[in-house]
Amino acid sequence: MRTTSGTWTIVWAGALLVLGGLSLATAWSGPVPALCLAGAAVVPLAIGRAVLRLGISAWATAAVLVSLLVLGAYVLAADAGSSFSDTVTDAVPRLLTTARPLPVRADLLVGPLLLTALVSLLVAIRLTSDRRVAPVVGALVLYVAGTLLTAGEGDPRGLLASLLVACTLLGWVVLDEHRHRTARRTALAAVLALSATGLLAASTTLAWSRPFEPRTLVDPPTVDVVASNPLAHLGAWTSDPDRLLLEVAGPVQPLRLVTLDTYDGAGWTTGTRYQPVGEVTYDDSRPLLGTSPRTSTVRVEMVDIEGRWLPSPGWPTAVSDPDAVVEPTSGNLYLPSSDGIVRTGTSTSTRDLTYSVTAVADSPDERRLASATVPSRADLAPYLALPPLPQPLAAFAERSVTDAVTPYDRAVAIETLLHDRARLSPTAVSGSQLWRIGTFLLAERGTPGARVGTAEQFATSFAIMARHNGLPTRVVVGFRPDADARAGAGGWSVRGRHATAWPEVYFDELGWVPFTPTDERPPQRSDEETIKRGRGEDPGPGPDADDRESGTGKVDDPATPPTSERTDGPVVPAALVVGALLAILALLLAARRIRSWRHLRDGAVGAWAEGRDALRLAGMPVAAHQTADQVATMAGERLGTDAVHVLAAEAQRAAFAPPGTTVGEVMPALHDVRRCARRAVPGWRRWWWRFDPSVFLR
Amino acid sequence: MTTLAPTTATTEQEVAEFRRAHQRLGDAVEVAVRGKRSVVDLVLVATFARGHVLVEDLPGTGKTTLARALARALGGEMHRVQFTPDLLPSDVTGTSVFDPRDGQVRFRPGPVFAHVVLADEINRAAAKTQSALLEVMEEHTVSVDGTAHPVPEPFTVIATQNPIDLDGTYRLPEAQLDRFMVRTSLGFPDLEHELEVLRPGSTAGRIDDVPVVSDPGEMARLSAVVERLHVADPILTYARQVGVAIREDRRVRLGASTRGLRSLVRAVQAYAASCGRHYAIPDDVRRLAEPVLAHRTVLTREAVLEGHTAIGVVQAALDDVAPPQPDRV
Repeated sequence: MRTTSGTWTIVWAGALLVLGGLSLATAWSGPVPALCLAGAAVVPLAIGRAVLRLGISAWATAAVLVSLLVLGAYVLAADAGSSFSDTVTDAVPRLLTTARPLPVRADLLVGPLLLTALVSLLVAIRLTSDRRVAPVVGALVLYVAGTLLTAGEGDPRGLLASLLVACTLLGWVVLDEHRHRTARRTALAAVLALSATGLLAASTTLAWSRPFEPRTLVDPPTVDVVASNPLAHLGAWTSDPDRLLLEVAGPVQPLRLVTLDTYDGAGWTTGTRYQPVGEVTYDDSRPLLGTSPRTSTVRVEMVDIEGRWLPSPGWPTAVSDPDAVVEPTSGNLYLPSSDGIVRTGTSTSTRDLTYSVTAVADSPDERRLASATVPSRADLAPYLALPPLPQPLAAFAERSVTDAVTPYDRAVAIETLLHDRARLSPTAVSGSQLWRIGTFLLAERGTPGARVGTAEQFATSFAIMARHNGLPTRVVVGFRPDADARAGAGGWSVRGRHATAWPEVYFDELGWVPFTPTDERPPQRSDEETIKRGRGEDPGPGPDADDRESGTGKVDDPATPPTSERTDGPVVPAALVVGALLAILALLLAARRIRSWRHLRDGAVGAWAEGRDALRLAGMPVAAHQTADQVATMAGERLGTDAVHVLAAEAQRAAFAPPGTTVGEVMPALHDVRRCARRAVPGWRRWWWRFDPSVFLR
Repeated sequence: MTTLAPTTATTEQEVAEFRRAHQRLGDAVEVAVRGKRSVVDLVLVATFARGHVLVEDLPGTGKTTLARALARALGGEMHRVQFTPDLLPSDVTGTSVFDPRDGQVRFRPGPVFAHVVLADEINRAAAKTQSALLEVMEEHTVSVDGTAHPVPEPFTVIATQNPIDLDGTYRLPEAQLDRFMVRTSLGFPDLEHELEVLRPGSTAGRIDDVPVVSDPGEMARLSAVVERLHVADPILTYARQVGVAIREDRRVRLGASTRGLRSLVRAVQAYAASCGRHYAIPDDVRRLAEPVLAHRTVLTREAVLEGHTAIGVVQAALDDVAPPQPDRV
């Protein structure tokens, strides 16, 4: 490719950079970032080449254009509302801690635009050399940056990568001025294209169980939320059964307001460290879920509800409100007040707020419940933690599961016991303290609070007894639809009577299974959200057949869980490793062949370069201060051939003699040198001769 | 293998003829000077490059014999000047004398008017006598009473000096050293050649047995061939980089001048032609850098006290500067 950069070369370079920039643009949704990045890829290249053609030095061009780029970034950063230095230095952490797809904001666009423009400028400057590596490297840099930014989701099928390879090879085949080698270049390009296609196909058809996620390397910004749990509101909500709390569009299913996992004897708490939604992806397995979760999306309008928690159908993975934060362990969704929660009117609550949320929740197979086991992993320890129980309460908990055999039997036994033993009343004394639970369960009838309680006492009692019997349990405060709610197609109105709390027990592979210890049972136990059990039906969040037919929401096919563990065994990784090694060898071989062809087309001087490569491969690297004759003398003595002298003499004749001097045939001498040099390599290492990339270091 | 070089450049045929003449002269000188072919070739290179030679060695090593044998082989006129402390400049260049026969004042040429001038033990003469050689070595003319008298061409000064027994000697000034293209030394011959010299009946040292194999006209023509020999830009750049590296060496007080580097290039041309090449290569520069540049390199006092030598400095420069590679020009 020893040629000047013509117009087509610039077009080719621009196309490569645009493809690389599009890889970055996949982190956003919408055309604006793509157009901006394409412009950043093309404009500096075009301006840089135009200025260089005027005869202005590359350094001056680079200095001026870099200054202009920095100025442009400064102006853009000013729109972002932060200082220029903060915007630039925090660009990468900000990009890696903002939910995907990234919103179109100036502070998020500055970094990628600056990177793309600088790469474009460098390509414009390096395009003056006799090699066209710069555009390929530049496009590769942008593509890799985009891939890292999107964790590979931006180009899941390798389309952009294929286009990059195709464009690179096309430029190499078409733009090279040495037409007499076109056939060989085309053949090599075909081999390279085939290798790249095979590699891409292998990498896209064989899904990776855990792709590299650069976001794990960055600590996301966190918000400490110290707020009491909404259990205290249950009584108020349920005492006014027709009070409209929420309007929900989407699948009719239970909505979780808060998931509580820590019980200290005085009450329930949960994690206080929240972070923006999308920081921790679902694939990170941070949320404790089973192997068959489902994804659903609902649109919620906060009509009249206290607090700043945002209801969600499960562990939220995306929320339309960019200010929402999530507690990564429990999945509690919260809208902090620091940056203004008021969206309409002047209210200081979340009233009238409307948002869409996509979440994942367990969808356990009820047929496997009877034989399900309970894991004893360390990460489940918080769900088994209990304060020291009063002896009567502990004995009561133990007696409640006397006849139960399996973990599920124990949970059902506790649930049934609570059904039969207590009565649900919205006016009952609230509280989750141990004394309140003791009274609720053990006090004689007639005692205030005995055998009567709100959903809070039912759920807490279940959780205490279950944990005491070794079942990992948590309590969920939320809203559960009833028959009336299901009647509304495409959504439902959440009213006070739907507010409740229910316990959930974690089973191996099945995930969190809801139970309903309250005595308030829906008229029909075949609700979508309930799970049919051996002895009856219990309401709770579960699979919802009707949800799949809902017009506004969506439910993913549970048959393809995103976190299901792959059982491909060692064959697939081994095949990938072997394929990668073969691809690397093919690339090395191609690179070496290209190097050799480029050498040999330059005649005697190229033959000398090829001879030097052979000497290096034979362990005789040429020092910088050695002349060709010195090299020939050294190599001739070690290899035992005079061919290297012939090669050096003809190369120097070609290089230093006056123009028009004819040069003798060098190929026989080169073949002799190659043969002798290869013979000097130990036999076990000769196979590496054709692939050894060390020649590129000289 | 044909040559399509421009007519201004030296052709391969011309180089071949030059090489034969060079070989012939070397063989002729070797009749009297045995076992020193490399020094003989170096002196011939300087002669063909229109340069002057300073032979620095111990007494009895053949310095004078080399100069006389070269002069005889060249077939030109040779004069010898034995430099002594009482030698006057006019004794070297000549002077104007009154001719009583016709009452005219005539210029009487001195011994410098010859094709080869042997300035024997040049450092024994006073500085002003040494300086008398400056003009003639550089300009090839002698100015007396306002009249310039050209010396015959080709003109070569072969000076010798003794590096020991320096009492009563006058060190050659840098300006005059710079006018010598090369400085070399003969050294003692090895066993084989010294036995040959000692063997009765040997022709070693017998100038009369040296055949005359050339003439001044051929020398002038071959010198012109050398001047037109092609030196590629990378070679010129390499030569300059070596010179600059010497100048920038911290041990050097005075490095090679531009005239010194020009002398290097001329010597490189002649050396390349003597090797049968019509172009120069980096090895030519490496071969001639020491004899051409070392005597032009003046070290600092500290460097001398530390034991450094000019030859070492030149060698260091050659090791530091990467020569042009055929595949990277």
